[in-house]
Amino acid sequence: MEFNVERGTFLEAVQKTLGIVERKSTMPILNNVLIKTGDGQITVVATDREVGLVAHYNATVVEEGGITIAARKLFEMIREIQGDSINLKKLENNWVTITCGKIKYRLPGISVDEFPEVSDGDDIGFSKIKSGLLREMITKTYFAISTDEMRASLNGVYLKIDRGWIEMVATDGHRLSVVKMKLEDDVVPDFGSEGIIIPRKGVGEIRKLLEDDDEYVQVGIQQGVCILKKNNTILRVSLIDSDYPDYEKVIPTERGIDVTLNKDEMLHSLKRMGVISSERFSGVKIQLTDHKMVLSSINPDVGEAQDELTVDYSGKDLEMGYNVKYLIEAIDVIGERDISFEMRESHGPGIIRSFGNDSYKCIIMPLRL
Amino acid sequence: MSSRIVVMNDEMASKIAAGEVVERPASIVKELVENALDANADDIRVELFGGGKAAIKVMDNGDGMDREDAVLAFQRYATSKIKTFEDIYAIYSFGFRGEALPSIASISKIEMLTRRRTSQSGTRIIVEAGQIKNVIDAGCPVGTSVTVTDIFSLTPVRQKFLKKDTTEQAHCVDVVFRSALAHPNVSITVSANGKEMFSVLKTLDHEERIALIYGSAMMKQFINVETRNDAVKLWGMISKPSLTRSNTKGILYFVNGRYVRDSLIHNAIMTSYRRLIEMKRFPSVILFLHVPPSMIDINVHPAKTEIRFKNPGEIREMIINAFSAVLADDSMPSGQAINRHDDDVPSVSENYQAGVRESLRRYTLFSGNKQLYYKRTDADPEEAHRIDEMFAVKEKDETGFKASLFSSLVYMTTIDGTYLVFQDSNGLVIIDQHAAHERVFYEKLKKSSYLKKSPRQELMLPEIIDLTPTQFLLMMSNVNIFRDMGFDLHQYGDNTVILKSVPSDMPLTGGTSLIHDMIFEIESTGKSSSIEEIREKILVMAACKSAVKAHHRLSTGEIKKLLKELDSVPNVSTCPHGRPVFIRIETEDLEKLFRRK
Repeated sequence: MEFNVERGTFLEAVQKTLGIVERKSTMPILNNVLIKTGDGQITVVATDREVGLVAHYNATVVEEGGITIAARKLFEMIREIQGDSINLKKLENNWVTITCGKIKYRLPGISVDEFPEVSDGDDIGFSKIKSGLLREMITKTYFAISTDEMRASLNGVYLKIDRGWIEMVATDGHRLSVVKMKLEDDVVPDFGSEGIIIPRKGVGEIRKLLEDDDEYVQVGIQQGVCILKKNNTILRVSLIDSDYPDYEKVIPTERGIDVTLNKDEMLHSLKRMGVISSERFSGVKIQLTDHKMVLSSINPDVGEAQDELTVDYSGKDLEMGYNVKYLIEAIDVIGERDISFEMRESHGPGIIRSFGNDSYKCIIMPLRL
Repeated sequence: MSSRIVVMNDEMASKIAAGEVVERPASIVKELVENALDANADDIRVELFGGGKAAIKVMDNGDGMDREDAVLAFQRYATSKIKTFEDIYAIYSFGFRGEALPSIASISKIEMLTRRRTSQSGTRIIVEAGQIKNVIDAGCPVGTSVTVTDIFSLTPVRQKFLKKDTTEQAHCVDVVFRSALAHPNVSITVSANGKEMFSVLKTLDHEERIALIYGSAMMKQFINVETRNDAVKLWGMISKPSLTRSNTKGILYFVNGRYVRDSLIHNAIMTSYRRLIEMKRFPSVILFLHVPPSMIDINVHPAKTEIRFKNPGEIREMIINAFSAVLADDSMPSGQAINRHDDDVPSVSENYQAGVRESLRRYTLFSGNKQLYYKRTDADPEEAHRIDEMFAVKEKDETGFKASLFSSLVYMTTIDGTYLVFQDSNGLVIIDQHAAHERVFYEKLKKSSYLKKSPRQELMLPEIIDLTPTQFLLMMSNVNIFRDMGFDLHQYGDNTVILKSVPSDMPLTGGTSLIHDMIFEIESTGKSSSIEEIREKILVMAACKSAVKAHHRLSTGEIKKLLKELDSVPNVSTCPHGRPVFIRIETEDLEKLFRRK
């Protein structure tokens, strides 16, 4: 096997696999990236058996074949090479040379036979979704994904499509982020009535795939695997096979005490509170009085902070506590100028949304300080 | 029809009764040594033959007896120690029931030689099977000497149940060893088949006696504990948490000089060490309690190794408070314990010093080369092993760290993603990151729950937790402890609880699994735990679950934070399970390892 490929292309191809290949795997082959030749192109494959990536790039094939190479080392080698075209050649006993002008690397590879099968020719129906839309949904939910491995269903985002609306949800049990958007096209992906749960790592890889807002990405589901196709790349993500909790019942139906705030003002004020927060004392106290919102934090180990915002509010006084990090993360992803912060008495959940828009909601359970 | 119940004759009854007191040769040694102590002897010699099965001889230089008394001594219920029933409430002497000699006599042959200081000549009595065979005047030194032979010859059943010579001998030596600990001002020697086994000179006080028996190296591992109230006086030497052993044999306690075994005292001792030493490891404790006789009942068990206190709670509390106070002070500089027997002590007279040195050389259990004196006996390997185990100590590293030392350590590397290696001016320090974090977290949790101020994070989706009926009952009876910690739990249905909030500083691990683990732990370790114990168990569990695990690489920032937190934490030498948090390898140790020294 031998081929010549443009350096920039090859660098990008290998870089895209780095998020997928395992850093420390008990199976050394999973640290490797598979490279095989095709008709005027090379195919780069990486997998951790949960997430798989198959991408095609133009190359001049000299001799057909395939090999697997340690992804991280390969990336570093290409990065340090100066020159336009790189020649990769497989020698005997799975040794590989990488040559560019006078620069030559020689390294051992592992036979293709040991690499897990990653399919790239799926014969299923795909539907298209706008990249920008999917990416925005991921951004607005990703932070709320649970890291508690004991609750597998929460280790990812829940995605469902219902009558032309696509909805993505993530929760860690303390807050829940939900985005609901209208799909433009008539042909929509079928995630079934149950919806799907995409694991955290897969969500991260999908986000990387969705660089250009206006392009479309093809989405399909087959046997518990979500397949995304975009240009030359196919991403396969094994879904979490579990029931997502009935999140809709935690979203309050009646309106609480709602205040409108300037997003940046509120965010900065919260960050000022966040300065003194720690693992144990992560709370911010929010007091609503006549036209005034007072934010304060106390951390016996660090000190105290206080800030005041003018708000359009004239109801009765209210005092609530929240984890300051949860508020910051929920507000940070909002693109609009104003936000709405809805609170409830007697430890009911708070809701952050962009002002006048119900598309994104982050429900945050209060903290009893 | 003849009656089926008959009254036993005296001979038969006495043989059976003797069984209560005289169980094995060691019981004879115990009774005779106690008699000697009651007779104000300050020099006691014990000779054993055939492991104490063939013959036992106990000689003392005590008060002795005149002829009349000596004869009376072999009558059951004859005693010089109490005269009226009321006296039993003021017993400081060991014996009082008047059973010892007659009991021994009923199952063996005894030859007693005794002379009072004031008498011209002594008395020699020979008793066989409880019957006085011969009483004559005889010349002998002041004091009493009792030789017991043909032991259990009349009770073949008991004889059958005796263990090997070496085992019985070890038991006899144990008895003498314990008496030696309890009576510092008595010189005690024990020999077996003519070979000296154990010998201590007269010493001034308990501390000196303990030092003499255990050796100065061991003394450095001990802490002094002392307290008293109006009635009770407590004094002892207790091992630092870094010194543990695999069995309870290092735990010896004496009430009014009497070696006893008592679950109350034992429990109080173990409670004090809880969370400081590993599970299934035990401290070494030598504890002396002085309690007014009116406050105890020692007439519970024939061998008088059991005791009842009138005010058990007070005793327990006293022990726990005294122990906890000295154990918590972990920064106590090492080597503070007595070094009185070091060679450079000038105040002790040369003669005495030489004697002590000689004793130390010959009898110290823990000499430099760890050669145990028991090995000199002809004990069979199995027995030697048992004894070795008895005195086996597990030494861990000293905890000589002072405040702010951890944060001054220079980080070098991490081994196996678990052991953080540091350097300081004296050598290497290796920290187990999980154990360290566990300790830090435990202390934090302890503080937060004791202050009851842990903010509670409300859960979006309350967790429903299914329990077994037992777990459920256990949970509901302890629900307030969980609530104090921030776990807001409520009954939800039959054997089901609902978790509505968690402590805010709890990382996002599943509340359900945490609760399950905690309740399982409580269940498996006993339902009768006190509130504090349950609270502690919960804390330990929570700390363990929340602490950073092994094989998880920490960033430099995280390591720095951990060190800083370690500095602010008491009991830093062990994690809440009692495993060590860190070990030190000093430059000197390295030099030894490389044979430079």
